[in-house]
Amino acid sequence: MDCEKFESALMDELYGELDELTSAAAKRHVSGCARCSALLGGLRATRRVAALPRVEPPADLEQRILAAAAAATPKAVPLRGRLAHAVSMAGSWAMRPQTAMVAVFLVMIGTSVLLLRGKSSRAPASAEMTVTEEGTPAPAAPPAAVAAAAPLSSAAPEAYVANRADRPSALLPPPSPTTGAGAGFAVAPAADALDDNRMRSPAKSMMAKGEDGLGAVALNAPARGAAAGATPAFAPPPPPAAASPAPVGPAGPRLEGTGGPFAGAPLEATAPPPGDPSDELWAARTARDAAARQGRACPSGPRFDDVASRAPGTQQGWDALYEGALCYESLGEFGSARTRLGTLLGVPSYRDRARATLDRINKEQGRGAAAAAHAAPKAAPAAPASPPAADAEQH
Amino acid sequence: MKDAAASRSEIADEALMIRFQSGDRSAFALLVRRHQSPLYNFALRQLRSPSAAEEVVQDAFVRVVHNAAEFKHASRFSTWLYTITRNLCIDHVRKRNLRNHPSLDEPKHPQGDQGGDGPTLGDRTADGRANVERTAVAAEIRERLLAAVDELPDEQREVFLLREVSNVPFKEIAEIVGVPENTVKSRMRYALERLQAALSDYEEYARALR
Repeated sequence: MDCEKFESALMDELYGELDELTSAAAKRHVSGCARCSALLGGLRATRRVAALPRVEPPADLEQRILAAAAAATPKAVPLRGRLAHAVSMAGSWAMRPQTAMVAVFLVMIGTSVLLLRGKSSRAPASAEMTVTEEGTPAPAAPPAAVAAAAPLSSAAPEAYVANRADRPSALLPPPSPTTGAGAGFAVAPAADALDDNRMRSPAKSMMAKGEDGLGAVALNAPARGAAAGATPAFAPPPPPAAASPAPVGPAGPRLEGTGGPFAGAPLEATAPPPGDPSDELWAARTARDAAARQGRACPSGPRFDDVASRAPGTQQGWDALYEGALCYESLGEFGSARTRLGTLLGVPSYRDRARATLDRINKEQGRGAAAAAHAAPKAAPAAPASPPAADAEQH
Repeated sequence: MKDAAASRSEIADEALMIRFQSGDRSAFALLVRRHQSPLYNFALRQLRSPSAAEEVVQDAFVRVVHNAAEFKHASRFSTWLYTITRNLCIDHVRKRNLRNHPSLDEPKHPQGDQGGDGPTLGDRTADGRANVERTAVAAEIRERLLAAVDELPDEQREVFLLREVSNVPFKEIAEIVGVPENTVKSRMRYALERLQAALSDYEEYARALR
């Protein structure tokens, strides 16, 4: 220990507040340092001289102190005072910013817990999400009693107009407002994409028979509910009451369901399901139009016959019958055409058109017969060549 | 030893205070009996008036009663008590200075000092024939000492009195007066050096008493 450190420890050493180790070091320094020794000695002497005598307090001071303390001891505070004090303390705590922060924090936590509990109660985590689809699809083959009509949609008329624009106007009359059978059909896809083989094979027998298409059709018709055997396949239509025409809406007839979930409900004018007579009729028309654009003959006669046999007594069936007659007329098969047109004479909505077409066919056949008769006498002089051969054989 | 006893009593002070806070009035009475005398001497040397000292000591203990529930035992009981007493002394001196006249009723050096029962220089003499002389010298020293103490600056005097009269350690003095401990030690050294200079004439006499 040096003099500087000794002076910093001087007061503690003078009043005995140094620890033993430091005190021993201070004593060693003092024993070797005259200056510090004199300094410590002088202060110790001063302490001895400056020892102030103790003065005893008055004897009654203790009693007076105790009496004053007893008088100053707070008495039992009444309940009202204690409550007021408690309210005051609570209010002082409530006004603190820390209390407000804690309250806001608790409100946030409580709200979050309530929201999480509500979500969990509504949708258990273990519950699987399932999706169900209501409704059943419409039956693929509507029954015969259905009043066939084109499905209705706002786009239907435009689709039919677009379809009609592709067909040569000379072959087919404009659609009547009552029928509008094609109103519900969507715009046909490219006719080339259609496969006619499916339709042609069942009707090949009808095509091969030519004028006897009626008989072939007659063979197919019984499966569709027409009278077997004696009666023609395309029997006169039932009384109008039985075959109630389809109601005509602002955009054409409406196809009504036979029952089930779609009873009375309008159907959209989209492509009908495959196998449906409407679909077949639409396909037949598309093929006809495509052939007409290509300058080919109408290939859809058997298709029209198939639709007519599958949907007898319906609007689609009558349409198919009429358009089939026109198809056969274009092919020159007037007999087949007359057969079908004759059936349509019994349908009030087709009577006028059928009669007009028959008249036209008769005129064409008359001109042809006249032309043939006019050409026949000119060919007569040349004819004797053949009879002598026959006579030669007989002899 | 003195410090050990003081530390034991201080520890005892804490226990007594806890009991008093629980409603034990006898514990408070023991605290009064233990501390009233050094407290009174401190106030007496500060105020240089026995009546003022009595009043201050009484008020100090009353304040202990009033604030007993707020005493959190963060410091020693003696530190808390002397802090209260010091503040009361300062308030008393301030009020007295505002009155702007010294107390004519109180002698500069209380009569009681001359009859103090503490050990004095005269009591230390061993030779009976010089006892009268030593008694006179002792009286002179006492007068000189009291005057020197009175002439100390207030901050040095209070540190001197707390250390010499109340035997409060420097660390607690620092808490009472609110200054660092080294400042307390410095003030104490300056106070002793002043007293040494005032009593230099009697230093040889004091060395002879050793």
